[in-house]
Amino acid sequence: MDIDRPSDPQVSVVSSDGTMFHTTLKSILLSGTIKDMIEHIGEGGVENMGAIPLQNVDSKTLEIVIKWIEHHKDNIQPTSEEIKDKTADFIDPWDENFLEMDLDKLYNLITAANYLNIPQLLWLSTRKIAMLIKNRTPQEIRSLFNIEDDWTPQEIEAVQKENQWCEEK
Amino acid sequence: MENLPKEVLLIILDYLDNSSLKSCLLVSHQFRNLILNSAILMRKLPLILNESQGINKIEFIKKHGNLVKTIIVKDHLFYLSDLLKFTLNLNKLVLVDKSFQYQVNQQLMKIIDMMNEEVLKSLQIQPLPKIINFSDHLQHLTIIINNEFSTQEIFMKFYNINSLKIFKLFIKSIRQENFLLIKKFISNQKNLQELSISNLPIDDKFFENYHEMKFKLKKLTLGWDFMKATRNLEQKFPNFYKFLNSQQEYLEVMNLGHCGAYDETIEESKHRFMEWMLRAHFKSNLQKNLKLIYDTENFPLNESKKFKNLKKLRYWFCDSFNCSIPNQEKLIELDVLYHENFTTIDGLKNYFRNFVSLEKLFIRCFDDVNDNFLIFIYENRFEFFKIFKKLKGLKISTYGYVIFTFTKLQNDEIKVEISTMNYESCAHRIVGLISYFNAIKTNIVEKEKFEKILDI
Repeated sequence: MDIDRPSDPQVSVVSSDGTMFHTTLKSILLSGTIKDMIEHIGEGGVENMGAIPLQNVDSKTLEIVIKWIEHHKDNIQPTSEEIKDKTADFIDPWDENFLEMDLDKLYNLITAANYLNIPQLLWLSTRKIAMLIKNRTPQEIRSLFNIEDDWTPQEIEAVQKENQWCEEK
Repeated sequence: MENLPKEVLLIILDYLDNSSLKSCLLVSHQFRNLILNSAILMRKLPLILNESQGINKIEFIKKHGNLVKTIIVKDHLFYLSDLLKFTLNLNKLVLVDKSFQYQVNQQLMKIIDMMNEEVLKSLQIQPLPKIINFSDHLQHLTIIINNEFSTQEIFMKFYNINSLKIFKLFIKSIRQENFLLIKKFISNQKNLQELSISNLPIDDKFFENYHEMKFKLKKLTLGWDFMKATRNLEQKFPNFYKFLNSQQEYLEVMNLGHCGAYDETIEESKHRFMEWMLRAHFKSNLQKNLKLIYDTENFPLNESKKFKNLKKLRYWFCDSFNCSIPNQEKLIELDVLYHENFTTIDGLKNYFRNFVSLEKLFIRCFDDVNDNFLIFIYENRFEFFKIFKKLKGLKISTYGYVIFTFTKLQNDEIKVEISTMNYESCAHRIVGLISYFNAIKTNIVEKEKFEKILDI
């Protein structure tokens, strides 16, 4: 199968809750997972393969993912290796606006980007969480992300003492 | 968040700096265990040892020492050799000057002996015992020394280390025999990627046979002492010439350092050195990979046609009245010192008129002009950004640490970042700036942090 054909056929994907979405081959190929699947189908497979089931992505999240891949379908996407060297100097303002969502949606998006193997989307969404953590105290991080404080008073005293190994005074 | 896959949580934590990572260590058992069991994250957390703090760290090192990648020794520590037994995977050891202040330092010699002993075992190809095998892991060594005795002792003992990727050396004075020890030490390195030599009065002989080195340098930093060149540079620096030719294919950053700002003789000879190097010996097609750092006054840009392919450049400033800047069509990143011409739009236009392709501009300010300059830039933002057709980012630093960011100054394409050295010492000015930028509804990241510090 020639996945670099000039025409851009339609592809359908189905979310874990059974909703079908239509997008283009060029867009969906930003997902490394789906790209691998399509490459294994062989000659003439795309038109006849039917909807691709995505058991790990619900419809609300899949809708968001499709919005992102369709916006970026013409951009050259960095590989997972290239992402490692990427700095956060300049983020596309469209992406910054796109990521303005509540934390639950963001977690689902991260999980989907990880499952679908979309390195750039995973980088953007995880970086967004990292920026939220930055410069916050442990208590602020717990509150923001609704993380249970599972330290006993004795434990917290011990780990605070232990932490001194990386504190310059 | 806790339900995210472990590999994703590690990706998130990996974006954090030291300070935020330290906070995460105290968030929950899950966060702490993730960090402590990740060699990559632990590598970010330096183990800082000094006399007053070191004692408290013994228990930690006994427990987690095999994950420690970096140790910075700031004081003379009588128990350091005992601690090193637990840090089997050490990558980076920084020994700063204070560590060597006692010339007869039996404990220090014991540490170095211990490392040397391990090297000998590995050379004899014996099965390695489960004790410290320091030299195989050591990749980054920074040494800052002030006295001859320490220099000699250290380099004699470190003689067999050959695994370094980064070697930085700062020495104030040196005798000839020590000079040769250092030369030999560097030539032993097979995988060196970054070499920095500062304050060491080396000459061309230092680079004798260096062109035969197996290492491929990505970054080379030389202090100004080496630049005390005269005319006929090729005759004066035949060995360095060969060395540079052998490395230029790999070099990504060439830092020619900060020279004696008030010594015109040194300035002039350094300019000549730099011009010679770029014109005659840096192939233009390789310049596109190079970032040149040349912190000097009066950068000789009027002689710069030969490095027209340079992509990234840092220099202090060029007096635009005495220097015509040729078109730098390939230059995409420029880092310059604040200049009085920047106080008017015409001055800015004149100064930057030939940097047609700039994507990133970094302006450093060192005086009290800071906030006036920022306000000037803001008030003239439309004019300012018209100067640069391709600019994607502007960074203005008033000294160092990033303190806040405001975005979308002119349009969505350009990101602007402002930083200052020390927000506590600049607090009164920051209050003014925050108020100012608040008034114009500019988004200031980290604002909460400042409000806390400033108790607004």
